[in-house]
Amino acid sequence: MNNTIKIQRAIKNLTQEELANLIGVSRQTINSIENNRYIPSTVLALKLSKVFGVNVNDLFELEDDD
Amino acid sequence: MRNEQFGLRLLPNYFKKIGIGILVLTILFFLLWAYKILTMDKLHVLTISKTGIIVSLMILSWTKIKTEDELTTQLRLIAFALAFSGGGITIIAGSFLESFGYNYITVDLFKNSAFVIISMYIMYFTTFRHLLKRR
Repeated sequence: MNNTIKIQRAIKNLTQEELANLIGVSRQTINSIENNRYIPSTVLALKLSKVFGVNVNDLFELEDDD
Repeated sequence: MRNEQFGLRLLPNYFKKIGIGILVLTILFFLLWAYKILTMDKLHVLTISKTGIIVSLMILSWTKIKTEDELTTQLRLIAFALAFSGGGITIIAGSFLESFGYNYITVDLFKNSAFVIISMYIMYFTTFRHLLKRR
């Protein structure tokens, strides 16, 4: 699964730490999501979409092998 | 959103101090007995020591870390699963060692369920720390 969190974060000019504080997770979790080591829960995905003001489908994209 | 789904209900972070406190007191108690400052029956000392260590490790394993979130919960579950499998391997390895005549290792350690449980907790903490560093 691909995601555009790093891009969205850059657009909003947020650091990983700031984003983590906004959605109540650790900075390492944001880092793991950005590097595709961890797929977040639906709740976390919705929180991310709320922070960035975009649809979840714009944040996460399924790959062919998913 | 109300979160009533299945999940781990962990203890608050301050329980870490309680767990470490029990562990330290247990080790102190054992050392006092070992250096003959405290006189007590060996069986009772071993029972109290094993119980103290297992209870403290149990508390520590169920205590939230400072940055607990859904990823750390997932890593915790992976660590629990690996430690459980490790415990199974320890018992199998112990049985094989015993059957091949390495009784000096196995009689005291592998037949003792407390040893297996404590080794499983050590495997759990090691794996969990390793996974936390890698995240």
